[in-house]
Amino acid sequence: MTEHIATEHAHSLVQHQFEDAYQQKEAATLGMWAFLATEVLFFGGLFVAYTIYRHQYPDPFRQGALNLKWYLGGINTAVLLLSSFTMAMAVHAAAIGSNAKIIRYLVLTIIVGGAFLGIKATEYYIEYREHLIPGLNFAHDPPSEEEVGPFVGAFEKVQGWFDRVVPPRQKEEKRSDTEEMFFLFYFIMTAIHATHMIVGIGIMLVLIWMAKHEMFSAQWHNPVENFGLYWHFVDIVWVFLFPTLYLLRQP
Amino acid sequence: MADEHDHVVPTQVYARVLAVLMLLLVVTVAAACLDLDHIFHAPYWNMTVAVLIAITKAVLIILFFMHVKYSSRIVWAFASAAFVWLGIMMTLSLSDYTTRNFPEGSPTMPAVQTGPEIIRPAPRPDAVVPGASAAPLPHTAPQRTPAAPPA
Repeated sequence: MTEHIATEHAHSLVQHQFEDAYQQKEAATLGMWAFLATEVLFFGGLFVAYTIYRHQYPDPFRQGALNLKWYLGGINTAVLLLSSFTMAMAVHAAAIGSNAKIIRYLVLTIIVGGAFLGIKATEYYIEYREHLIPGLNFAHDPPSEEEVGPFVGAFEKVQGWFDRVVPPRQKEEKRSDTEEMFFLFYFIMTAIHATHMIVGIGIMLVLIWMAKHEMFSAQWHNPVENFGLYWHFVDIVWVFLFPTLYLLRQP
Repeated sequence: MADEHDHVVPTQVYARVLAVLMLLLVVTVAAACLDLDHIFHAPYWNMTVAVLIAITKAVLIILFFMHVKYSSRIVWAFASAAFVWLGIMMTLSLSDYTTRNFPEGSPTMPAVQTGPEIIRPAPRPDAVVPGASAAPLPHTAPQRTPAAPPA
């Protein structure tokens, strides 16, 4: 029953310049990959700049990375991988033509993606209280325990448990200018990544609206499919950001 | 027409890929806790392992989550092109920066390069030196080039 209606519906959605739905889908996928190629090179430029500076100043960059709460970054990586999974399930729901399932999995993806942004915001707040933001409040002297407050202090304590394996940064040690440069890279790269996620959540809200109006079918669901590509790409960027920014722990 | 091209990936595939990705996340954190450079007596081991794990994760996401494994040849070409060009940018940039400024007598790459060399000009022979002493003042002393003999 739905099969027939869906086919009719899909047929009307093949625009006149395309032979059929398959060709239309192929064109959309290629266009999306061309866009993603520009994104790869956009983030790639940042990674190249980061690598050059890290090669030039290995020790200050390591000192900078030791200020980050790497376990929060690790939790965030797991959270983002999970959101990629729920996104893949949304695309699967689209492929079998179930608008209700698309909505369910997109809402899940928004929740998990929102959790990522929440943890990221918490990290930014911790770094703000620890005076690590270049141009705003970067201080060469690390603030004392009273200055950062009990909230940030709790995260410091958890970091202390993890730091038993690797010697942590000396608290009273002065921060160098090069360390400030590490934080410049850290904030620009993670903020651009977070911006991509916020844009993604906005697009997902539109997709949910479209699914609510039964616009997708097994034959035509290119927006869901292509948004999936975008979301997975954002996930890949973080997969590289996590080890490059958080895991520089060895001398 | 559409049905013969559309490949619906079973959800178990996604679940398995997610499990492998989580496992690799644990491995990459564990690898960062070990001083691999020290264990293998060679530099860059920690970095290499971290990057290799990240590439493995990216390839899994691209092949399965992004369906490239089930896509046409031209999608393969577009997806690879992005990373080939990234590779060119990386290789050419790093082949320059990693081979600059070898300090004398160092067996490997420079550990820390503090900045460009500042070469101060030698004082002019006819410069009027306050105090009329023969030796130049410390802050005008040439750092890199030998002082020109006074005329």
